[in-house]
Amino acid sequence: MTEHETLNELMEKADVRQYDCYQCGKCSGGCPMSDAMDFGPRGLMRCAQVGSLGRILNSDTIWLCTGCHACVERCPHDVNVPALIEEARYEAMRRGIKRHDSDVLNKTFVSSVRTFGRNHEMLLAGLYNVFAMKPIQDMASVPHMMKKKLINPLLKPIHGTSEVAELIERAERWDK
Amino acid sequence: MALSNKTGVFICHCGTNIAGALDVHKVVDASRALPGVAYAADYKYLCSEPGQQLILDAIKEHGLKRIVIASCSPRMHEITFRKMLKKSNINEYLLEIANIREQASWVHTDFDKATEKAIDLVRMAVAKVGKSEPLKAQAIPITKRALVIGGGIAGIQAALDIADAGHEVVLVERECSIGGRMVMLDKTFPTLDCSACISTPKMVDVSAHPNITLMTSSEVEEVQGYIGNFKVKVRKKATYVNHDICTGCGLCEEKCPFKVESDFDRGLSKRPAIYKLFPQAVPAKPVIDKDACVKLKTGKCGVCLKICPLNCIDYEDEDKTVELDIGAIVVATGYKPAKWQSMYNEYGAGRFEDVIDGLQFERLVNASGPTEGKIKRPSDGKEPETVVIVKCVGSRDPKKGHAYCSRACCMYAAKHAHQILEKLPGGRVFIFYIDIRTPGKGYEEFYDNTRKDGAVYVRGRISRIFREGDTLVCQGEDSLLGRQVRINADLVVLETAMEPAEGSADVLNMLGCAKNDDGWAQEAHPKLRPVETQVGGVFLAGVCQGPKDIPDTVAQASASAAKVIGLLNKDEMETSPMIAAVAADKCSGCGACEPICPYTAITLEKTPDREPGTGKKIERSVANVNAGLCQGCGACTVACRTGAIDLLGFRNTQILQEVDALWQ
Amino acid sequence: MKRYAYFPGCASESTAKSTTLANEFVFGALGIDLIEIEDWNCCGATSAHTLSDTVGLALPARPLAQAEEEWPDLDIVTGCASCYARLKVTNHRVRTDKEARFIVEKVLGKPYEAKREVLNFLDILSGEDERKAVENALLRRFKNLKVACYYGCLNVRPAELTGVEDRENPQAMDELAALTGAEPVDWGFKSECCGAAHQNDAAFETRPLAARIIENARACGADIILTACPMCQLNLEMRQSEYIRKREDKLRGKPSFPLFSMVLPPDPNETIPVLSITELLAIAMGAGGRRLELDAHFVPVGNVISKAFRDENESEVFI
Repeated sequence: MTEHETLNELMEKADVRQYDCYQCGKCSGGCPMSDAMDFGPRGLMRCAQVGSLGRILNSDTIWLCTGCHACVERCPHDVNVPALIEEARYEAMRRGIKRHDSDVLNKTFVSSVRTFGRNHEMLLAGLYNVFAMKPIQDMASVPHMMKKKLINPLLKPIHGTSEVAELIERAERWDK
Repeated sequence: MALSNKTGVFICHCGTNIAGALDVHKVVDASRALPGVAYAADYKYLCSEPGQQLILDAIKEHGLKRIVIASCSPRMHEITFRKMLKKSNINEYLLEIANIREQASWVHTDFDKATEKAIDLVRMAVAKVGKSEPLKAQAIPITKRALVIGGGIAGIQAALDIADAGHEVVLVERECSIGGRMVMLDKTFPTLDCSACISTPKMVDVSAHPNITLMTSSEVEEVQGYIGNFKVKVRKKATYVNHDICTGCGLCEEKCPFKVESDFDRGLSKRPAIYKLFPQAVPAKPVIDKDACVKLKTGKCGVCLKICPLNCIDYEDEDKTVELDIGAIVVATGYKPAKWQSMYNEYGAGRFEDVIDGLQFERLVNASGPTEGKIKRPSDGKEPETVVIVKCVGSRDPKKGHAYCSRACCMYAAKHAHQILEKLPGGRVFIFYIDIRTPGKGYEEFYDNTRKDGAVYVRGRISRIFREGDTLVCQGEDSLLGRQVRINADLVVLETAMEPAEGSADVLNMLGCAKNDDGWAQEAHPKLRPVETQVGGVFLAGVCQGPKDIPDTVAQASASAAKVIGLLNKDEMETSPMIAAVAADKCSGCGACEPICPYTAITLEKTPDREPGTGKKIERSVANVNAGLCQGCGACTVACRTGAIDLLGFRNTQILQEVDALWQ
Repeated sequence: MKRYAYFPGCASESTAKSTTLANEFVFGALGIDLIEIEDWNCCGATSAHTLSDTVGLALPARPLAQAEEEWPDLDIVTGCASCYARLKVTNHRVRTDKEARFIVEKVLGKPYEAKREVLNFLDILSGEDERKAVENALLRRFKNLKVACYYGCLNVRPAELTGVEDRENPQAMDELAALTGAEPVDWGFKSECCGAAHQNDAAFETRPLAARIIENARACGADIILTACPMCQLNLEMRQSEYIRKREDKLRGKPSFPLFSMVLPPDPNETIPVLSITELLAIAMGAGGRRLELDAHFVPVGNVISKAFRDENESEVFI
C-alpha cells in the first residue's frame, strides 16, 4: 500500500475528510496543548491535505492531544481531529514510532491493570518515573500522601484479576 | 385538417460544450431517420445571427412546419428561438428544445452513451412537437403604479428611479422612518463619505416627490392578483399622533417620562416612548411605541397630550387597512445582523458587555450616536486601547451559522479599523480573518491603506473569548506563525453575518416568490435575470436577494427600477399562452383543481348547458382559468379526475408521445 | 429511593479519599442508593484506548455488562470524568456501531446491549427532585464564598455523548453550588482541559494547562475551585505549589529549579483550595471537617471554609 492509500484508509477509519477543513485555525486557537505542539490540530489537517502521512506519524501533536474535543466542538466544518489522532497513534505504534514516553506510561498502566484489575496511581507514577528516568517528578507529594493515607503501600488486587488479564489478552489478540 | 408534421431538426455544437462530449453528426444522422423529420442539420452556434439565419433559410427551402432545436437548456434560449420564428411563417409554439447540453454533454463522461442519450432526447422532442398546436399570446392591461416594499437605501433608490420616470410609486416601510440600515452607519467604504450625509437627501427627495406616496409604520398584509394587476392590502399601524397637524417640534419626546432601549442605537442608549427613529427621520414626526407607552398600557400618564401645543396626540388611534391597485412590485426588505449570542457560546453568548457587533460599533462611532462619535466601551465608558475585530461571525460557518460569505464584512472591518486608528491615538487594532475579500473598485486600496496605518491582520478565526479579571482575553491562532495568541482586549467587535430581515419570509410567501435554503429571495436566473423573480411583475432590490454592500445594492435597485419602468411603460402586455385550459364538456365541476392552484387562478363558474337526454336548459359549475394568474405549473392537470384540464404546450397527448418515443 | 449502579473508579480508593467520604455522606443524606458494581475493574482511561481500540472498549465493557446483568433497570453512575468518558464512549459505540458491539461481546464472552445510560454526579444531582432534596438537606449556608466551578473537558464534551447544552459555559454545577449560598463566579476555564491525562508522560507541556486554570480562577475572584472529577481535583491541587513557585520565579526573573519549587511551600496567599462539589454539598449538609478528612487536601481548605459561614456558631460546628 502506498503512503497515500494508507493515509486515506486512516482518514476513512476516523471518518474525517481532510478537504472539509479550510484552515481557519479555530481549532489550534483553542487547543490547550497548541503551545507545546509542533503542528497543532490545524497543522495536522494541513499535513493530511498535502498528503504527508510521515509528518503526521512523526509529529508530537498526535501524542500531546489530551482528547478534550475543544477543536471539534468549535470547528465550523465539524472536522473530528481527535478521531484522526487516535487512528494516527495506532498507525505510529504499528510502525514503532515513539515520542514523549507515552508508550512507557501506557504500557505500565495496562500491565498494572492486568496485575491488579485496577490502577494504583502512585505505583503507576513511581514505575513510570523509574522507566522514563524522571526520578523527582511529582515525588514531593509522596510524604503528604503517605501521611494522609491517600495511597496504600499494600496493593490489593480485585477478585477477577485473572479474568481481567484474560480479557486484555483476548482484546489484544483481536487487534492482531 | 391536421397540420403537416414536416419537422426540421437542428443540432447545436455549442462550441465544444456539446460537440466535445458527444457525436453531433451521429445525432444528425439519427434525426434524419425519425418519422416526420424532413430536414436535419448542425451548426457551431445556432443562437448566433448566422445560426438563426441558417434555420430560417432551411424553413423556407424545405417548407418546414415544426422545429426541434437540440441545444442548451430551454431556460437559456427558448425565447431567442421563439423570437426568431416570428420572422418565419411558423407559429413560435411549434418549437421544441431538446436539452442535450445540461442533460447530456455536461453531465456524462462516456462519449457513446452521451450520444445515445442525445438521440433519445431528440427523438422525444420530435414526437412531442408533432402533437404541438399553434398558440397565441393574450394581452392583459397594466396598472401604472408600482409598490416598493422596504424603505432602506434599496427601496428609496428604486422608488426614486421609478417616480422620476413618471410613474406612481407607493413606498411601504414598517418602521416609523425610512432610511433602513444605511442611516445607522457612520461612514461608508471605500470613500469614507458620511452615510447619513449621502442618504438623508435621498430620503427627503422621497418625501417631496410628487409621484411617491410614502407609507411608514405600515406593513403589506395581503397580495392578490398578477403581473400588471395586483391587489395589495397594506396595514397602516396606529401611530397615536396626527401627522397632518404635527410639526415635529419634539416637545413630547423631551417630556415623555418613560424610556426604553433604543433599537436604532442597538441597545446602546435609551429613547422615550414617543419618539422619532433618529433626528433626520423622514417623516420628521414622532410616533408612540404602544409597548412602551404607560398611558396606552395603564391609562395613567398623558404627559404628551398635555404638552403638545397643537393637540396632535390621539390615544384612540387605530390600525387602518388600505387597498391598492398595483402593476409591479419591488421587494427591498433588506437584512438583519445575525444573532451571534445564540450561535457562539465560545464568544461569551452576550455575557460580556464589551463584546459588540459591527452595527453597534457603527452607532458608537457615529456623531449622532449615543456617545456622539467618541469610541467608548459600553461597560465603563472608557476609551479602549486595544480593540480586537473578529470577522466571519456567523458567516462561512455551516455548523454554527451560515455557509455563505456575507460579502461586506471584510471591507467594513477594514473601515472600523481605520476609524479606531484615526480616533484613538495610540490605540491598537487586531483583525482576525480567514481570507480577505476585497473585490470592488477601490476596495483593495482601502484595505492596503488600513494595513499600512497599522491595523494588525492576524490570519485565524478567534477560538474563544473569556474574562480574566477585568480584561477580556481573545484567544486564537496566528496561523501564519503557527502559534496560539492571546490578546487582552478592551473592546471586541464581532463582524456578524447578514441574515434575511425579520418577516421577509412572510413577504416572499405572500408574493409566491421562492427562497433559497438561507432564506434569501431567489432570482429568476442568477446571471441573466438577477433582479426578476419567477413571479411575473415582482422584482428584487438589495440585500433581500443576498448579502451585498451599498454600491451593489443601489445598482441593483436601479436595475430593478428599470425593469419596473419597462413594464409600466406598456399599456398592456402579452402573457404566456402555455397555461391550463379546461375542456368544458369533460369538466364535472368537482372543484378538486381549485384548492390545488398555488396562484388562485382557478374558479368555478356557472355555465349554461343542456341536460343530457332531455335537452333541458340547465346551469352547471365549470372550472375557469384566469389567464393572467395562471403560471402554467400544471398542478391542476394531475388533480383533475376527468382529465378535463390540459396544460397548453404540455398536453397529455404530447407528453405521452414523448414517453412512447423513448421506448420505440 | 432512587438507585443507581455505581462505578467508583480507581481514584476513589486512594487520592480521592475525602471526595469518596463526601459522596457517601451526600447521597446518604439525599436518599440516593449507589450500588457498587461488584468487583469492578479499571476502565483503562486514558492509556488503554491509546494503545488499542479493542482493549479500550473491552475494559469498561466488563463492569458495564456486569451491571446490565445484575441490575438491568439501573442507570450507571460514576464520579470521575475520565471513567465517565470511557464508559460513555463504550456504551455509545455498542449502541450505534454493530461491528463494535460484535467485537465487545466476542471479547467479553457474554452479551452486552448497552440498554441503560451512563451518568455522572452532575447529571443525577441536577434533576428537579434532586435539587429540592439538596435544598432540604442543607443545614447551613455559606456567605461570601466565591467559587469557580470547574467541570473539566470530559464531563461536558463531546456534546453528542454528554448532551450538555452549553459546553463553553455549563451551568449544572454552578446551580448546585449556588444552593449552598456560595457565589459562582463567571470565569473562563470551566471546560478547558487541565491536561491530567498527560501530566506524567508530558509533564513539561501539560503543567501550564492547570496553571492557567488556577490563574484565571484567582483573577476572576474565586476563593476556591470546585471540581467534579478526582483526576482534575488531584491535578489542580497536588501540583499547585509547583505552578505557583514557577510563576513566582518567573516574575522575579530567576531560573526555576523544579525540585526546589516542588518542596518549598508557596505563599499561602497565592494558593487556592480545590474541593469537589460533593465535598461542598456535604459541608453545607452538616458534615464536619474530620468526618470528611478534609485535612487530606494538599492545599489547606479549613480557613477559607470557616470564614465563609454565616455566623460564628456554625463555623465552630465545622471545626
